[in-house]
Amino acid sequence: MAKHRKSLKVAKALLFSSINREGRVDEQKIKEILIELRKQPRSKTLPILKALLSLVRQKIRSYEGHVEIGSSNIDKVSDILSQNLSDSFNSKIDLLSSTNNSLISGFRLRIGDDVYEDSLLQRINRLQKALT
Amino acid sequence: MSSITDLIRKEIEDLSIDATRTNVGTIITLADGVARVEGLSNVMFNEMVEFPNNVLGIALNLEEDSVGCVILGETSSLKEGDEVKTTGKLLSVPVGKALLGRVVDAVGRPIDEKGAIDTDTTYPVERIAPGIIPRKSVSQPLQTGIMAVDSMIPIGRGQRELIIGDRSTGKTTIAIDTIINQAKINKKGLDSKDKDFRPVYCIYVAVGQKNSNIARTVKVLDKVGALEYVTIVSAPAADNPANQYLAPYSGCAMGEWFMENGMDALIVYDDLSKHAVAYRQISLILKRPSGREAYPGDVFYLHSRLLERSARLNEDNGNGSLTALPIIETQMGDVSGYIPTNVISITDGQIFLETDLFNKGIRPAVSVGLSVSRVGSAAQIKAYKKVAGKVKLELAQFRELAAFSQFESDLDAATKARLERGARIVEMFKQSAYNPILVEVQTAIMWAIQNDFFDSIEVSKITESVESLKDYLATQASEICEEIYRSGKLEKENEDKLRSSMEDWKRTLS
Amino acid sequence: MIILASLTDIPAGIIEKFGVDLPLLIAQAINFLLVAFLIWKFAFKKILSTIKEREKKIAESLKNADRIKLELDETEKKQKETLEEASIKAKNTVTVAQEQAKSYIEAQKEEARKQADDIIHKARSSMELERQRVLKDAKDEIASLVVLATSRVLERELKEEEKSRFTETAVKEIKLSS
Repeated sequence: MAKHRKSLKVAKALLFSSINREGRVDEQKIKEILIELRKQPRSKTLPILKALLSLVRQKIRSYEGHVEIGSSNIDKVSDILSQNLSDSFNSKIDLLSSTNNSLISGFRLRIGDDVYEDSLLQRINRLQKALT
Repeated sequence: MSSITDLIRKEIEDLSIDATRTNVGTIITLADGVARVEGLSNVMFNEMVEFPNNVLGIALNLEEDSVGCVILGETSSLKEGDEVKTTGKLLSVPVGKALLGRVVDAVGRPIDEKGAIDTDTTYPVERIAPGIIPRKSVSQPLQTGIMAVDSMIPIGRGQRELIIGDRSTGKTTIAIDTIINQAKINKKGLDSKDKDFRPVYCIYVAVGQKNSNIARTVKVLDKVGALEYVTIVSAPAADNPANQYLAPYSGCAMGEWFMENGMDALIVYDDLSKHAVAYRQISLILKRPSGREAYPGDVFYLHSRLLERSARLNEDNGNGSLTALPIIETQMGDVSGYIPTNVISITDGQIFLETDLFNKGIRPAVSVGLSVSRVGSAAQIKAYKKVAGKVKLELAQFRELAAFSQFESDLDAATKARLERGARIVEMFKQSAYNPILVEVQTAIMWAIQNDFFDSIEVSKITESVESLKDYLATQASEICEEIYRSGKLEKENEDKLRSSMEDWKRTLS
Repeated sequence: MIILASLTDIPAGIIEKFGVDLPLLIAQAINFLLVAFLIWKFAFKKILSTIKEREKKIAESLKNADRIKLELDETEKKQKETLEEASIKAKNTVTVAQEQAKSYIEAQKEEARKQADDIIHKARSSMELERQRVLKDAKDEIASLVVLATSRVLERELKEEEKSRFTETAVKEIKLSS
């Protein structure tokens, strides 16, 4: 437990050092950190790397939103969403969009640990759950 | 057919069409019934989380970078990378009278194939125990039907009485006898349509036991007709440890419903040693620090918060009660082990069962010296108090003098009398399993022995004499017993009637 | 004396004729009296007293016999009473036992009736449960078929512009919060 906490502390410090001015994780800085860590023995760096990975994932999730759209008007929908996001959130959110036809229509947005969904697939699933 | 289409139509009409927002996480490790989840930033402690394929779990470890969840169900369908959702609810179980006569698992789902449980009320599994003000002191008796217990270690409604002993000493049998006796008393009382009669509903929580043992218990209760007043919560040894950990709390929630609605309930935890072992397993897998005997540091809190929820409430809060009979298995009679000492300090007394007595043929193998009830005679009806008051002392004196019984011919008359009386009392307390005796019959039998009616009977014939007396009381002297049952007292007039009945019975014996 | 003398005179001749020797007679009389006196003093008294005693004894035993007879009568009477009492008690016990046997048989009959009712009730409820289960299974089957059909239909039949319109509306209405 103590080792884990120590690695977490180190990973936090490394993450902090890799954040650029816009609050994003800088790829170049992360590459430099990895080169440095490779110089150390594997047994020492493995827990730090694991902790760093989960922290970086968490950080990226906090400013990167993924939206899946079930129709072909990706650009229009992305614009509306970006507007909505910048109105609701304090910081700038990067929005990555993709098409997912299994949703039939509607969207699913994941930002941070929250998932917002309003799709026909979800409504049909809810119907099925309610009926059984 | 039309009913089905109507049902479906109604469901479609009631369906909400709002967008949803859920808090999610991803499984990063999965082992031994515990999943470590990354994300879930809004999860609360002890909140129910949902895994894919409708598997539920509880968030028990909220750490800085991950959440440790115990899985309540099949882990075989889960894998790393699966999405986990919060439900916003604490784990709850269905409660109410619909649970009587049913066998359910640790989260209240029926496993006896008698259909769904028809109740809308659910209570959370973890709850804060009633405070000081809503409580009242224990004054109503809970008759176990076992003479050795009811006379010397009486239990009251709302008390916690620990049943402790080695393996195979009859601990579960005492609990089942108590349940059967409650069913007997309930039937009698409810048939008599007495307005003041308070039935006692029972909950039997089986933690870590063999499925065959649980099946046997269910059969025994069904055969004597006690099952309609009992709910059985089953978390057998093959269940994952999370279910075994939760089962006592679920049972307690079901009992609390009765208590808070002005009724009396009895809950048997069989047994808490296996419960502590299951909790130890979960804690060790969650990497919580371990202490003495590898149990986690909060193993006392594990049992204290469970047993504190058994109480007697005052009239303002419904006058209900929940009596707890936890069972602990000791190793080699060692009551100074970690878990036994913990639970002894929490409960209001213990019934200590000894292997020596069991092997000598004294069953129930209750050790009178080590057993105690901190509620005592406040929980006995007046009639019984009158006849049973001196029994404990007489037995203690008998035990002291037992070593001298070999010098039979050289003893003075008083010592001889004590030895004779003591030997007869020991014989009288022997009772067969699943055969509880109603309190009015017990009172009559104890009265007989205190008034020297058994002195002329040989010690080896006492057991069959008691049987014959029971038969006689059931047939010829039933009005006397009815009077004791109704009034709870033994008036002079009734006592005289009892004396003449006893004399008649004595004559039929010879 | 004179009479005696005269008396003795007249029959003197008679006496001589009958061979009665007066001095011998007197001597025999004296002898007789002596012997009688001796016998009376030494034997007769005793015999008399013995006889008296025996008489007393006989009288007593006769009295006793009367008493014994009385007692015997009483005992016989008591015996008869006890026998009567015993037979009444026995009759009572038999009656009570008969009544108990009757009520026991009634109770057993009632018990059997209740058990039969129980069995019927149990059978009925298990049939009901079975029915509910079948109904639920049918409902689930139909529901999943409905849902499957709906999703297939929507996938295929919904036009692209309808899908896009739905997505746009949904995205516009969503309320995000940090």
